[in-house]
Amino acid sequence: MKIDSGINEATLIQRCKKNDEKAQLQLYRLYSKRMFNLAVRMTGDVGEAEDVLQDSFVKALTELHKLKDENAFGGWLKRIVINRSIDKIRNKKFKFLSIETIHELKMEIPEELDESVDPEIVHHLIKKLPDGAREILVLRALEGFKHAEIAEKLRISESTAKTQFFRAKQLLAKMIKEMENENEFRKIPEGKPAEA
Amino acid sequence: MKTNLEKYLKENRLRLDAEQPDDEAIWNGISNKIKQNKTKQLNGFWKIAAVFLFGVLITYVVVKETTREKVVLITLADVSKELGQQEAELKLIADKKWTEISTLSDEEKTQFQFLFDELNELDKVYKSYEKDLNEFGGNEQIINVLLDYYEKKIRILNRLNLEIQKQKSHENNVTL
Repeated sequence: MKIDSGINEATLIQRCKKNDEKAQLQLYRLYSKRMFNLAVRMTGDVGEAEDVLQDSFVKALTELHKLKDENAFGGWLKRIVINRSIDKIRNKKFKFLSIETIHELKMEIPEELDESVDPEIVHHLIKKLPDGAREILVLRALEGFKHAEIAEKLRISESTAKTQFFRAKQLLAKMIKEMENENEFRKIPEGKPAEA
Repeated sequence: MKTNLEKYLKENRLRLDAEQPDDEAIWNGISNKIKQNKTKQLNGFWKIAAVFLFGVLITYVVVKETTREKVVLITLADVSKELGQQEAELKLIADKKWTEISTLSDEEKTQFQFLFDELNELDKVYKSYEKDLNEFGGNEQIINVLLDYYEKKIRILNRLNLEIQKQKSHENNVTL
């Protein structure tokens, strides 16, 4: 990856390995927004996401010598952020939707939405998804993890991962539909997480 | 226009990153934690170094003490009870003879210096064989030399005593 100042990312990481604080800050700025938003969507909470971001960068910068391929930093950092987020939310214990609820949703809501929907609104709606379903949706639909990998990370069965992903998509589609109906796409929604 | 949710999420992946973190506060936290970790690592290093040095010191002391225990002298009494008894008897006689001549003045001692030199040489030989006894154990040759030492010593002391007596008798005759 090329950085604004023209410095190659691999070079920047090599400087970070030598404890160059300016390079560390530059690397942080390069990834902070993306990793922060990933942590927000994973945890559903801005405060917790800030903790995750801080801890993840501390771990990444202090263990940078373990990274053999400097070009793989982004993927490595993403895995750290995801693992830290899972650690944060694991304490809450996932509460997955019952099969009955999933069945109801399937009958009611088609997985379709208007492509003009503001992605910022969708980001905030993802935050409102219940724990468990939210992480699975983020890992599968946005970060490209396979169901088997998600199951391993969240310590659930692969079939649960698949069912909950389906359920998360249905629920998100329902929330978007409701917003569409209320014609409130112009402002960022605030409020309690959706009922499970 | 309608689209599939999964397709929508993939296509708008980067535009979903809607929130901006408080970079200054978070970076300060990261920077401070990294510094704390470095200090902890450094403290940990010195703790390990101190424990290591302490361990080395203890090992040195224990090894030295154990070695010192090994240096404890073996005597003929350790080889056998009879030999110990024999040595003790000879030593007693030698000590008694030595007490008899120890009353000599320095001037008198000078007259019999050749005998005192012989006793010193004998002592050196004894020390050397005592060392061998500790190193190689009690073989026959060493035991014989050690017992022979006392006998030779007693003979020299007897001779010394005799010479002193002769001297005294000569002095008495001259005086008379």
